[in-house]
Amino acid sequence: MGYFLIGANYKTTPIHLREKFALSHDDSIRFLNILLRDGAAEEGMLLSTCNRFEVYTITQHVQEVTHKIKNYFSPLMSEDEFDWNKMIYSYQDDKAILHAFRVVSSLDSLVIGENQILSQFKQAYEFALAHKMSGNKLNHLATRALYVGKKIRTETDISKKPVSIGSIALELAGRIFENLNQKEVALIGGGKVSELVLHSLKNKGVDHLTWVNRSLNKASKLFVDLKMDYKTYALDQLVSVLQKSDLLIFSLSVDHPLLTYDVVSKIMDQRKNSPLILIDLGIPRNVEESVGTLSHVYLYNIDHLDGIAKQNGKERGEWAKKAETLVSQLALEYMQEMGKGRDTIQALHLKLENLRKKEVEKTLKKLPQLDKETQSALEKCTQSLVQKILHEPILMLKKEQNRLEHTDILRKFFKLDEE
Amino acid sequence: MFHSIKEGMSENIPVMSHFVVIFGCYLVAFFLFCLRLITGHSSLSLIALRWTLISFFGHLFLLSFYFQGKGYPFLSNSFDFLQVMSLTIVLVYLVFSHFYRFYAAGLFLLPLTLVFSSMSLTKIIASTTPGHFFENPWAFIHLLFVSIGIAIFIVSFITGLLFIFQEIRIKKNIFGGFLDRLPSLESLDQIYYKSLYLGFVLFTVGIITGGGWSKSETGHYLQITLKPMLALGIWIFFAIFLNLRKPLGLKGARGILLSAIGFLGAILLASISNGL
Repeated sequence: MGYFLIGANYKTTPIHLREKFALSHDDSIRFLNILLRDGAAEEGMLLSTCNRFEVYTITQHVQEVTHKIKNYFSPLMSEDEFDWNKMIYSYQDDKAILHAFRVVSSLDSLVIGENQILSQFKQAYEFALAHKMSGNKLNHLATRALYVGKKIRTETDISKKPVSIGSIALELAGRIFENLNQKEVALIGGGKVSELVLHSLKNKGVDHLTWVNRSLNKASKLFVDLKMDYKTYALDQLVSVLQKSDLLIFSLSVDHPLLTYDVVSKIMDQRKNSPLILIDLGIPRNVEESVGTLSHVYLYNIDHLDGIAKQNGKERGEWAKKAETLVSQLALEYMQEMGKGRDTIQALHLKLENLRKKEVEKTLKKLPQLDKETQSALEKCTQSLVQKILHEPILMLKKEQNRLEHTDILRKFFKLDEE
Repeated sequence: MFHSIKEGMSENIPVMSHFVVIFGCYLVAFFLFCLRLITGHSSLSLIALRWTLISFFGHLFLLSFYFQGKGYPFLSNSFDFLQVMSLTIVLVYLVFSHFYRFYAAGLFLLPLTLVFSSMSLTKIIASTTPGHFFENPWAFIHLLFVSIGIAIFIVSFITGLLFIFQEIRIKKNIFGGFLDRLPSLESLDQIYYKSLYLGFVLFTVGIITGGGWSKSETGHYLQITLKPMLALGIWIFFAIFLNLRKPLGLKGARGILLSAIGFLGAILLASISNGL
């Protein structure tokens, strides 16, 4: 029973196909249940972000899990689109551990060093935990991965220079407008991404904006904290906001695009072709792709941010190299710990079992008159005793905290390395 | 040096050698911009810009002495006209680079200066002392405004092309390189229209003074010949375009492409005026 990871990300799968991997809350539960059904996988966790879709499992039946995932998504894509081998990557055991650590450390992110993935991974883990999809092994991996993610951020400068999806989005806007603080900016959506964008806007000197969301009471505290003036609009007033704004940033979770070609085309006539920037950070996309073909409309989605991410990635290259080395070391340590822990449990079982057998044999030699029923009862009694003695130490070894230390103590205590 | 320039007024060759030096300076500035593009060393931009500034002052200095020591009215031949145009292009470029992040445009505007400069150098030997026609005070004012106006129109046109080029890059999501140093589309649009308005004002003054020149020489403000008719046509075109631009929403690439008709007319006018 080992780690098995299967996924698709921005490197392997274009946005229009990644959209098909985006599952709602209920669908995520249903999907994980399918994987765990019939014991195909023992544990499961789903990491789904704008840039990646990854399923972390504990399984012995890699083929079966792969087959189930393939069967789940193949009906959502056309035959031409569904190029499984090209889109999907998978890793097992050590490679899966290393990949998870790299992901949480944002070394595999579109923007190297971004912080968002850490909270996204944490949410994915909490989701699996809350729905009892993850168990001991995945919990170990997830908690260790989160620890590695934090360590990388504190021990390297990979995240020091603020580069996020929000700041990249504003860099793009800067290619069209000289001063964003003189423009009308609207934020559509109120999730984590919106918060990031809001911080980036504030850093760029924008101190007033229009906020459009389904529910309008959530973000007021954030605006107050950031000392920003804002006007709020309900989502059904989006068109009137579009008429007045120069830059709109979308991050809503929607089933259908909010803005279509026809709507924006009409608005552009009314705006007398005044430039309009639409930055669509939502998955599925909030703005129809064809809107970008309109003149004076500049539309960017998550994939477009890749270009600037590459430029920024250059600057972060040195830190990323150091972070890669550190992540590899930490992954190796984790693998050794896992291996050492497993070995120690096996050695403990073996040692106590041998002791038990010897003592039972001695006793039986001294008491030849014992009938078979009593002999069997003695066997069971001693077996149960050994299990009870081993229960606490094994629990200790299975716990993430101080595992290496506990392993060493137990090995010394039971003299496991002397034989 | 000044003495030799003054002497050179009667003998064209020594004067040409000084202008060739200036041409060489602009050529070096252009190569520095090219080098910046190839190597990616950002410090080269500043060096190139400073070298252009030095070359400009050298050019201005040389042209001033040439103007002072000229034995016949300034701007009365193609050499003068083209030299003023090349100097104006560099001046407008330097002014906009001071107010906007426009220095990367040197890669596109300096070749124009080089073209006008080299064209003028081929004309200098052919330049002859003009007749009384150019001694009329209206002539100098008219030719000065027209040459500067056309040069600014050309800068405006190149900026317009840069806008279109940059917009294509943005739409196609092309990043990186020296061209990322161009100002935002908003700034390019502002530079484009500011230079267009300025060029139009100067061109208007040029047309009015041209009418004055014509009246004093022929007794008529307007003659039905190709040059004044073309100039008037260009003026009317730009007057209509600039007035209807905002109400019709002729912004960005669409407006620039439409105004290209006027620019082509201006180039044609400059060519006819200089017998090119």
